Amino acid sequence: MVCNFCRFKAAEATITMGFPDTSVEDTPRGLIPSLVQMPPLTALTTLSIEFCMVDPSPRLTNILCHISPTPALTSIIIGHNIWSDTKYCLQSRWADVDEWLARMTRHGGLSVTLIRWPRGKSVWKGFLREFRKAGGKVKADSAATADDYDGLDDDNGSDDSSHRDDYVWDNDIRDP
Amino acid sequence: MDSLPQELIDKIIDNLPRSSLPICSLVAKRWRRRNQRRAFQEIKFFSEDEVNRWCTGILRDPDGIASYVRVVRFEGITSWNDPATFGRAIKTLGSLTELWVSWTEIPDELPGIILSLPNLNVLSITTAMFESKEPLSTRPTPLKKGPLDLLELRGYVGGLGETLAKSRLIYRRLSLASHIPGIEQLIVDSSETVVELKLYGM
Repeated sequence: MVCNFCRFKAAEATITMGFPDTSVEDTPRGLIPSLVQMPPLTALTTLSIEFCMVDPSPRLTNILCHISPTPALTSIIIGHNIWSDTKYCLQSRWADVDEWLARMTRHGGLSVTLIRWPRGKSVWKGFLREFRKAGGKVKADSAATADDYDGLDDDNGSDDSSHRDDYVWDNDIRDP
Repeated sequence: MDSLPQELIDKIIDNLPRSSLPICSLVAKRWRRRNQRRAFQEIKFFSEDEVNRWCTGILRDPDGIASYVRVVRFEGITSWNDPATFGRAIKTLGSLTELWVSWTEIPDELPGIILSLPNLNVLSITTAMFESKEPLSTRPTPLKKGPLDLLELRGYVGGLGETLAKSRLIYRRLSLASHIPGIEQLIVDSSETVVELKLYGM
């Protein structure tokens, strides 16, 4: 097993921690390598993430990407307090979160519940695709309707497994 | 009325609405202590004047009302004429278990005072005006060894995140804005105890 080491400046000393690097695919895009690698959060049962802007901030993405594994965690709540226009969102930042979620769900299965999620078809095409491909389930809060999330459907039509996942997604929305 | 056992009186008072407590405390001396215990279980300060009145009144208080306070909230005190006022008020509250601060200036010396509260279990700082942007150089020595129930840091809190990270306290619930420096250390320190983690992406 290859070990990477990341260093971070703690309160009073520079700490170096080793962590396993299982594969290139496990490393999310755009990761800042100087961030601390979290130890396993063994007791964590509830993880909520609240976005105040249309994109996750790089810092938030990095923190998320270093939280792993979480053996007791089965669901994640992602809330959105949108303050800006969704059409200017950066897909790459969501791709990092998507990859992290996919990695997390491979460890034991996860469901994501979206709360107060912004509407709009064009922006969210293929949203959390990797996560859903990895077997993760996406649900919406009861206030949402299927039309709100039509943009999540796969747009190229070539990936059958994505369509299957989208079907699950749609069912989850219509029958919360 | 005199024949009522104290346990029954306590039960009645515990089920009264808070708005009835001031009048109820005038019924009899036997009713007053339980009333005060309930009425002062949670207090809120919205101005420096209120805090000053509290501090002055507590000095003259023979019954030890301050010992009843478990929850205190400071809201909207964006600056202090005398920054030591906050610390004086906190020091009167030895039984405090929850401290909620929002939109309030926190003087530099406060983190040390906060962390020395022996029974503190919940600490929520939301958009506080913390004078120092840098973490404090001194390491506060916490008295409590077990995990605290909740740490909430949201909005602008200056160097408070790093200062609290230095204390190496552990928590069961963390509610943190992701832009605050030092929160990685807070999560790492609580990795074995944290059951609920909320992250706010700013």
